[in-house]
Amino acid sequence: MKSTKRRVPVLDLVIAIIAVLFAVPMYSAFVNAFKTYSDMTKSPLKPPTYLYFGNFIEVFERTDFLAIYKNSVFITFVSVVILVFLSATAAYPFARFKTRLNSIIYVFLIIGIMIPSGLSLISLIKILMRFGLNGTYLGLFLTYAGSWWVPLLMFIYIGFINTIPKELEESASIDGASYFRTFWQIIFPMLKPCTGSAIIFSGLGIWNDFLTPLFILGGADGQKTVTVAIYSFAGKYTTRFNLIFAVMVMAALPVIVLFVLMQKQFIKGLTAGAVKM
Amino acid sequence: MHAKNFSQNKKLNLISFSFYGPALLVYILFTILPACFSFYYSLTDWNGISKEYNIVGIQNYIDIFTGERFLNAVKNTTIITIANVAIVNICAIFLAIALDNLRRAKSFYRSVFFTPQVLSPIIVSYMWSYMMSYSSGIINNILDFLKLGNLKQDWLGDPKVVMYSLIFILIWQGLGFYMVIYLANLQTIPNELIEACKIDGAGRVSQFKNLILPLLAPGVTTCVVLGTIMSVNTFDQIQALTGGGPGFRTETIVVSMVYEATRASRQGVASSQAVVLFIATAIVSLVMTKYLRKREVEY
Repeated sequence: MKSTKRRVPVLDLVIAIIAVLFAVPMYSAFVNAFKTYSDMTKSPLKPPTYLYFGNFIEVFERTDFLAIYKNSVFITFVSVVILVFLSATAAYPFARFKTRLNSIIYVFLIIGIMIPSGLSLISLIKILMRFGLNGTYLGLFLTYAGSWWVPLLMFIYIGFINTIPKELEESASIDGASYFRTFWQIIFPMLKPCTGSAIIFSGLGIWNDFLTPLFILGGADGQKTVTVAIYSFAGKYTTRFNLIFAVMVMAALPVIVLFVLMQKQFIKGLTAGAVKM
Repeated sequence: MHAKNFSQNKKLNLISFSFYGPALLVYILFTILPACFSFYYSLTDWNGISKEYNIVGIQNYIDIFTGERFLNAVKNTTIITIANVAIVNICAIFLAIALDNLRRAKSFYRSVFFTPQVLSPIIVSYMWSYMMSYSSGIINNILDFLKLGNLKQDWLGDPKVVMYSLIFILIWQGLGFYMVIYLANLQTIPNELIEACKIDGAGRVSQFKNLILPLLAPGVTTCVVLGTIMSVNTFDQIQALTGGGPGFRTETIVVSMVYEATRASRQGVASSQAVVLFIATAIVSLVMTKYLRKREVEY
């Protein structure tokens, strides 16, 4: 498309206006987190005259935000490790051993991407209750491990493994290495770019997820994730937007910082599933 | 020979199973099994708590399709999905082409438009609930400032405008995602084709209609099917922004289903709604994939 490039100031202007439309809501949430309530209502779009940290202090007084934060980090970390392990190992045989049984199982797994999470979630909670797993981390991890995340990530992994030449493993199998060792020592290290995408994709999805933790963990104080905490906080202090913004800034800051540092990987990771479909 | 192949296959199947076994097991236990339970519960009057319940056949289905509330939710889901998918795709195609033709700051703008994608839908919702709030919201403030006070609206509280506001917010969050897919798709169009098109004297409009749009068909398939599935299942934004209100003005199937399953304690009814949602999604996405794939051209 390079040849169609022309000097079109109108185009630059239109895009700049749309970009402002995208920036204003994020900008206003950010600056108002550092303003007093009266400053926010008086001049909502002005940058703060001084950095007011009262909102953040109040958030810490009213909730155990540190615990909420730790909770989200812990849940995201463990879930991502489980998802990457399950989907990478599951992908390997589908890419390498094309038997009839494998192609049947493959289709059976891929159907999972199409099942609306609500369909299984409303009954899953009843099953978890029967085993005393609702409201527990284990219940949440198992829910993620069994969800559409694994088929989707597996699908991305299969596409990537297909691009790796088979000769590598064949020479390893002559050496007498077991299939598992071949996979973990030779193939998995070569999947690094794909694993990077999978980590970003699933990590962000789980950090930002709302319905699953709300359903499985409930709103119990010790077990809130950041999204559930924002929701219940906003429900309690409906008009105190500067307080809500302070919570939001803390919840979104690590994500935004990572995004700014690794824009290319983020965009690649978040669209990896879609582009290959 | 045949026998040897057979045992070879058996061995491969066994090895394969040792790889995908754990994933398959949790998938069956935590997605397939509960999905089957939902089908079963949809035929009962279970409240989700008590030990006893009766099998009522298709009574739940008859009830939801004869009651106004669910039909209203179906209507809202349809409106939100069609409007969101149509508008977001049209905007994304134009934005992608515009960005592709930009000389400077291409990747900067791409990141700006993509940023809402990395934010939680819950965060995006409260950002906009502030932007759109009646008395202190930014939008009404700006309208006041521009002396356009008569255009002020209760964006999320007025039953007449709330649907537009909601669809706008969904588009705002999703646009960057679709734009990036179309941008990637644009890079696959060979330069020679565009050159040839120009030499033939095609104007910008005909260039777009006859060359770029048909070659964007793979991107359209992906974005429309994926967008429909995601749109139909929208929950977070609606729950946080309106809770389905005012009244039931923005209640969708998923919002209604979650309400029935939790607060209303009607597991049977919620399950029947989930089943309807699943069947509808499956049919719509299969038909669409088939139709859109046919439109894709080879070059």
